[in-house]
Amino acid sequence: MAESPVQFLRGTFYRWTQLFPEICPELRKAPAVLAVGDLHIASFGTWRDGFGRLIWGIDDFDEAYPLPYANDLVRLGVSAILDASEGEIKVGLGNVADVILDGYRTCLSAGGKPFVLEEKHKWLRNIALNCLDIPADFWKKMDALPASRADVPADAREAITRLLPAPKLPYRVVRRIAGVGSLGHLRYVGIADWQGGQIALEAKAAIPSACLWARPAASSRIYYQLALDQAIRCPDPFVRLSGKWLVRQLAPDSSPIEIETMSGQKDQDKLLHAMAWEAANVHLGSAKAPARIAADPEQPLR
Amino acid sequence: MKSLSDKNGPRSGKQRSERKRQPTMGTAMNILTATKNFEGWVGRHTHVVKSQLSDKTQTDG
Repeated sequence: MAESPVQFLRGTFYRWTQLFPEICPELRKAPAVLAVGDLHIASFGTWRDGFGRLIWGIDDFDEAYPLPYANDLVRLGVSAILDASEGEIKVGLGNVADVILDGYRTCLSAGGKPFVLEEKHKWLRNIALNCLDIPADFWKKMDALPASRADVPADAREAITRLLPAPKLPYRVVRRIAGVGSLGHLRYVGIADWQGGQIALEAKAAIPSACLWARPAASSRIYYQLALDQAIRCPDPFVRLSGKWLVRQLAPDSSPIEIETMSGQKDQDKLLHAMAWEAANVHLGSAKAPARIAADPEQPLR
Repeated sequence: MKSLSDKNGPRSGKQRSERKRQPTMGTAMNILTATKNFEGWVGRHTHVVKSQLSDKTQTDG
């Protein structure tokens, strides 16, 4: 987290959600939607949907929670501005809010649409294909992960087993450390050989959003699955909340796309615009979100 | 009795700074205290997950 302001932002959503209502008091009253919560420029990646299509979008809903819609937009903007101020990206600083608001507003008006990187969005597909892991390197890294020394909880095993392609497929369990903000989250990865190649499923202990820590009287529900189910989205069939475990496939095609990998300001602005559109795809899952947001007297989207 | 300017007019600099300094839940807690507090909260939730699992394991066993 000490590496850069963006890393610090990514790792401290708990502090953000504690201070946001105080620093932006006019925005705390904005209409609530089921928001991503911890949205920032590194919250985006690729996956394959049930039809094998390459999809790009938000891939982390650990902190999903009912929040003012402005939370996600402001946090996305702050992360872009912090990254730009470090010289990591070239988005126009004075332009960030306009680009985000335009992407968000356009998506709300259009009723939302996911980013299917096939016949459309060729610019994003080209970037995505360059960011995907090389399968041989990916599996070399997976093979190097240490075996889990502790007993794997029975529920974690059950959660992994449910997503295996064959019910009695044997698999070994390794430990993995990942994420910036996932303080103390237990992770177990099951790796199996299946039909001539390896597959990996990770079970991560799911806990309620840090919003509950900041507002103890709030709901203790884990909103991960609801956010996935409600959003305008082509879901990854291998991501599922199973009891207290979030299970997801680890694969070379499930990769983050970092805005820093794009060279020019024009492309980075375009990606930022797409990020705001994707945030709206998630917010559109909440009932009557466009009408409620449009009726917000404080909203800057008019 | 408050004058109209007291109610609706611009606040003086002193009034504004007093309003700013009013401690609230977030600003009353510094980042180190907040982080320690949050880590404890995560630990308790992870512990809940662990104990629920061990209960289930015992039940299943």
